[in-house]
Amino acid sequence: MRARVLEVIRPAPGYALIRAEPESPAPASAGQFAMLRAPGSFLGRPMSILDSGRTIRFLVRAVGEGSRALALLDPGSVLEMIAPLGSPFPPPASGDVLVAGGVGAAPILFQARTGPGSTVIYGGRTASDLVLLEEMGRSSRLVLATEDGSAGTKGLATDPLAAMLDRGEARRVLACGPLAMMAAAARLAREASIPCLVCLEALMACGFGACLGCAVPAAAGGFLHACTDGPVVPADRVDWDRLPDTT
Amino acid sequence: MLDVDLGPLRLKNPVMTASGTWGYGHDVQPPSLSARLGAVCTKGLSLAPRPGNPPPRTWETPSGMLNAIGLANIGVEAFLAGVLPVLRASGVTVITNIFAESTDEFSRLAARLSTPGVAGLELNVSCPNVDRGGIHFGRDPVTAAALTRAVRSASDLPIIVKMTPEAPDVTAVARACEEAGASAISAINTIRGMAVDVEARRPRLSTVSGGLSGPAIRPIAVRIVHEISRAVRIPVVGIGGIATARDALEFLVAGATAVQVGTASFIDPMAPLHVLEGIEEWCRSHSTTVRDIVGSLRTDRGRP
Repeated sequence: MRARVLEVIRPAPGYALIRAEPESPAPASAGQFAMLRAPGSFLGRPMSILDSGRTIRFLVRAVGEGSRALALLDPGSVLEMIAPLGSPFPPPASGDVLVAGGVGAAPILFQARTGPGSTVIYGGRTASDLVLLEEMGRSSRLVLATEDGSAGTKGLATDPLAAMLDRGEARRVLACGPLAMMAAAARLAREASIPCLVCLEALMACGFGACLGCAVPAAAGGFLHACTDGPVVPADRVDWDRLPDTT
Repeated sequence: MLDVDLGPLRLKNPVMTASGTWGYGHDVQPPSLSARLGAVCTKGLSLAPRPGNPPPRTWETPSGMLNAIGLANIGVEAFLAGVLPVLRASGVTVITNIFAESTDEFSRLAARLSTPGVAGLELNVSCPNVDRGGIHFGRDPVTAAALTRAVRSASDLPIIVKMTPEAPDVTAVARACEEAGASAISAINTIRGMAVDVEARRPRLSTVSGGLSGPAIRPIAVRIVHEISRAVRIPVVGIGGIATARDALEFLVAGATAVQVGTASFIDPMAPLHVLEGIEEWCRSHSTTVRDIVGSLRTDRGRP
């Protein structure tokens, strides 16, 4: 369906917060995604949904041609959208610790709003990467980590996670962010014997199970498909060692 | 107005899905939608399940995409047990695309699929994304004919042989398959291509190169379909970058009896149905039938 862009906020270079109005409502849950296609792109790009109601919101980071075309859209432009797609996070539960890195913050913010009072660890390379900081702070108990120490503790988002797990402050981990971050969160949760769910990202052509492009190595052998098996999957279903490092 | 014959197989309309772009006909879309099409050509099936290639498997290119899926599929037994009954109950015309690494495996696969509910076989002798089998069968007329003959003796089903555009002489391959008993020829499979991440100095696909599809290859496909249709008496199924009814009509006029919609379904999962509706509308507004359109190309070649 078509969606008209109503508002674009560019909180930091390369990032765009896009609010669009779909032709017909596309009610979504945290963790689900949309295939968004800007004019001029051939294929859509998978983008996590940040919130949805009459309008739908996305956080886009320009990493390639398709995402750059989306990030450069102006209000009034029209994009093609297929949504909602994929499996959401489970309902919030007490003791949830949410870990967000980079654009992975979008589904985490959606989830944090679904169950207010949760703890969110929000990490990035530097303070300007934490583009959803203000909104995240309104919906959760927020812990920050940056690699250069410009916001929160200096280090990775998984450093505060390890400390919280040591103190027994987490009963479940939900993570979305760079591969290395999710792999580390998965390892820490496994060592602490608590469940961990991750929201996967992968290159894909369709988003609904037709192209089989979004293969993610599965712990059981073979592959999961990020679009239809996920994007939210239990971390122990992923073979983290076989995932190619594309960062 | 819309029905066509692929040899012994009558289709209610000329629009099919291309293998690997519509799942098995029951999962990507409800089977009721699949049943409206002339036929669904399934994801390529092999004797044993195949996991496919490691990621990354897809990359967008100008007006198209590269893929290196590697014939990931559930295997013929899972298809027969779990998928085919659903398709049969929904009235879907099913053409199973099959892939194997040897003539013997192809024959066993064809025999196994010769069962009520399967309307035809499409032989994939043209996949660029696997080490063995695939494209190696489809480049040489003698090899392709031997395979067609073997499958012919293993099954009574209509056989469609899917051409690779990379055969040195694709019309010679098509003619050889016709003589060996093929009921129809489909053309074209993807063309091998490659893209590079300059910053990382790495290929965009795990397999280095992959198959190019989408509108980027359509003029090549139209040309090859036209040439094959002039070279054989059996029907030709046109494939390559069809996204609209106008695209499909181009193939029909050039000589295709039916078409397959492929990559367009990734962008709009209703694309094959929109193509069908558009052809129907065009036939109505031009007071014609699909049969009358097929091969109706007018050229000045050969005139004084």
